[in-house]
Amino acid sequence: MVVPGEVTASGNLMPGDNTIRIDGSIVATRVGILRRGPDSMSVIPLRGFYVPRVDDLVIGVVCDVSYNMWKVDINCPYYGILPATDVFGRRFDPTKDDPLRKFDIGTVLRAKITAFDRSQDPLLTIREQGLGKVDFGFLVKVNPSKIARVIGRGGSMLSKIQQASNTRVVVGQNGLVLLATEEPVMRDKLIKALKLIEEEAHTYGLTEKVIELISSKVEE
Amino acid sequence: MSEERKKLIDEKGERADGRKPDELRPIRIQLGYLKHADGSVLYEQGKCKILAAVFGPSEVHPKHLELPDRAILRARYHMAPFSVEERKSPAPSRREIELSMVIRNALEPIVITELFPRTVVGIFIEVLQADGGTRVAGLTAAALALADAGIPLRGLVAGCAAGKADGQMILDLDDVEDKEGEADMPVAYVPTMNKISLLQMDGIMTRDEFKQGVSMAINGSMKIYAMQVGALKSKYRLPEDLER
Repeated sequence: MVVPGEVTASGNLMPGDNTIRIDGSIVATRVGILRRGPDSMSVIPLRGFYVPRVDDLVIGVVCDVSYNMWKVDINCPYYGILPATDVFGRRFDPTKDDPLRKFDIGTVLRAKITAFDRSQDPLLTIREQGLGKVDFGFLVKVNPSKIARVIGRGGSMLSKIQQASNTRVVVGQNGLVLLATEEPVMRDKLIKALKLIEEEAHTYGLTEKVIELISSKVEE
Repeated sequence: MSEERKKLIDEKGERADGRKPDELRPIRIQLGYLKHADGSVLYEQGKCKILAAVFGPSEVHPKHLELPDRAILRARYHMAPFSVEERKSPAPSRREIELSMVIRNALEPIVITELFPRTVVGIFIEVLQADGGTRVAGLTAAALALADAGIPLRGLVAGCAAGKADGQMILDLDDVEDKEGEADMPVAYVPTMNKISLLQMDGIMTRDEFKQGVSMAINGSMKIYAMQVGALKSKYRLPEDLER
């Protein structure tokens, strides 16, 4: 466990995620857990915001439409850009195709990040299986640094949640979680379960607690 | 100054509140104090109570203020109307605007702003109760709130004032010592970079006293820094198996 400014290593190791090199030593830049790789030192953050990464699956809400692209709020410092050519294809013609009629403001999208380099907003695509408009379910926000715990090691937590609730749960790397149910009792239980994971991400036996919460009968 | 004035340091070398000349006031840190801010802290140093909250990084408005190569910092130091003996107007005073700038400048070297260009990080420092040394206490609190928000930092900054009262050098001045004493010098120090990020002075000191004051303030800051680290570690402590 390290805090910003703490020296984690010195010598020939490379600074990995959330670390920098200051005067020959590798220094943590965020509160988190130290991880040593074969030739690098990195920090897994315990607090923080979502920083886009190429190939991340995210869930976003369309917040602006222009003639050739959509701006998508993906819960990070930058807007995701979904170009119209991605949806209509190369032959996209602004005089014939109207982006607004395809996805209006407020549309929930599952998308994948195809490019991001901080000097430009992250580029999104929906041209893959399972991506595109979401028209069913309920969105929940979870702290992005806790998303790894929601998924669990090798997806264990997520698959157990889905089994116990018999509901499809889609997790966006950006901290938005989609519950594919409109059934209020199960929805409320799942929201409670997600909040429990968020608050007690660091405790033992969390999976059991979560499953218990989901399988519990609602008292009348 | 009248001769009747109460002595700031008595014959035994103790200060008005019973501290030794180089003793800090008791410090309390409550991280994550606010629910809706991305990062927050309630910081108490003696009678000083300071609330710091951080938002961001987020989009810059108005757009023309954004920088293509780094994030901008916005700091607001504000004293609540009830923070001082006589009601203070809630409008930002000249002093508060200046201190906001001073605090922003002191934080800029520690925040790795190059990592998220075209964004803004908002830092809000609310003095709930003032008793001397609020700018450095605010800065210490702001560093904690930034770490709590998960903003990448080169290190934490800790601040502490040194000064002179009744001809003697003292550490961490309270309001009376600040007003009645001969000199007051707030210092903020970044231990991991071994750099001073804020140094101001008001009053008269000799060159040697100044040197002594700076080293006293750095020592005080180191003690506060240890408490910052302790607070962050105890808040986010993990079970052993995840620590591997």
